[in-house]
Amino acid sequence: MKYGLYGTLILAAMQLCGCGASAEHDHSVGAEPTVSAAAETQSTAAPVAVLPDRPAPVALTELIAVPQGNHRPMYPGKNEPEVVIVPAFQLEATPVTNAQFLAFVWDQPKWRRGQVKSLFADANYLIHWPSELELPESMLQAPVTNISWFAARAYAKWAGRRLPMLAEWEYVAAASETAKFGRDDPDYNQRILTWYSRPTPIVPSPVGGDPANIYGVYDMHGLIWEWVDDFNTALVTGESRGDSGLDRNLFCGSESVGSADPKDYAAFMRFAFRSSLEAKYTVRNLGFRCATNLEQL
Amino acid sequence: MKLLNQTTGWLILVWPLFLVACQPSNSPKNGTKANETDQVQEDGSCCSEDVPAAAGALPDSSIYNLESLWTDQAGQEHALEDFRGTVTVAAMIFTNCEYACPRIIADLKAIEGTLTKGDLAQVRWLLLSMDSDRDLPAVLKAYAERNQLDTARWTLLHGDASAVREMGATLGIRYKKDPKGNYSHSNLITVLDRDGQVQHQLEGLGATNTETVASISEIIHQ
Repeated sequence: MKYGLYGTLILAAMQLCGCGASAEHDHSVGAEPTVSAAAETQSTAAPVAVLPDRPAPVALTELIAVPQGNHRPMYPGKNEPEVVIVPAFQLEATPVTNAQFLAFVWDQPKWRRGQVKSLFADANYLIHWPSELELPESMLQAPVTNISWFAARAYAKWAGRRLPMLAEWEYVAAASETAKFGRDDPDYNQRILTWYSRPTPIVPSPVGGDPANIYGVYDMHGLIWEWVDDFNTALVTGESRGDSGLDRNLFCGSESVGSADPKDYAAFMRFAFRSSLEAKYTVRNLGFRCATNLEQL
Repeated sequence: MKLLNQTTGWLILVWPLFLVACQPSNSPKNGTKANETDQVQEDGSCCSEDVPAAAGALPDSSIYNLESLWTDQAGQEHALEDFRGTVTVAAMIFTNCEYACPRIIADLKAIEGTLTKGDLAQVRWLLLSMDSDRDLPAVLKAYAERNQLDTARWTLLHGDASAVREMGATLGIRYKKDPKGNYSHSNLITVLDRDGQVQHQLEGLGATNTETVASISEIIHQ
């Protein structure tokens, strides 16, 4: 275990000189010679690739206690109140990193890039990782992206946690560094929108680089988009009763005038983005963080 | 510790499969609990000669890869893989639904009405409730009776909130609970082949079902 770091460096060096290419593209063979991996892939062939050292254990992200508060849904339904009470819960201070997700796929072979079932992730799952089980030092502290909702959920379960609900996420995301409702601060809104308008970098910056918000939570804006457990409630498109115009409403910018808060164009963009997702989709700038109920302490 | 537990779990799981010589190449899903495996063996669904399509590992795109557990209207617990081997027509509903769900069931019955007796015997009609709080097995049983659903062919399933969310996300159904406990939801009828792969989806209420019927017929007769 202690040699994980050296292994990382060696493999990174191998990949720089092109020696790691065979390992990188070998998706068909279970690279992990454990009982579980062998049984799962039903592979009769012995593993060909030399396994990298298992990385050193990585701690789970610190949980931040978030007090009970209010969330104003972007599009409250016909029977819904304009303000939803979000009970107190805990949210991870930063998004899940590549290093943490690497530890997860080491532990759960079925979530490795070469073994994940097509039901659970599209073809671009973890595609930016240079290898299935080894990552260069430079990527370790960056948030993991290119993961599906299923994979995010599986990680959360493995960690003994869960994904945050949409209302929980938006409630925390509404805070600025100094106020619980940052969206009343024009500066704060402008910063988020400026980020939305910038192209996505190939490798996101490490997590926790910007100041925390008033709760002590980092990177709700400015780094990546994040999955929430109930992403598929971002509502009901054309086929639903009485909502036949909603498709048009979702994607026509002028409709944000009819939303809960016309100033909150950033939340409107998140709403539109979520409603375009399917659970197996992977996106280059879409990651996640975990949450827990308060009583899970 | 996690790895150790998992490995131990596998040893427990894999042994009985070899002992009964039941498709030794068919490894159970990772994380399947021992009692699920027993269930599959008890009803013979992994060994029956009547369902040749159910042999071997599940295809990667099969929704039966979901590991959630469901309880039917008779109170019996199921892994989704239990439904392997029959053609399945599935929809998500909730029994308190006054408008859309009765119409989904009417649409399903309309599809049912177009099938020949021989074909009908090969189709399972699966209603998955999205209301995990209220639609307990007894409620589903009463609902089946009220709607004259023959439970030899119709199965109504209750799952916990997490299983329901996962199923909704997998089938592509968008739904939202309102404060009264009712649901806004998209309406979708899904045709699954014998291995649980989605072959066709019909969107909307009262939509033309020609393609749905053709899809069912094609799977039965292929």
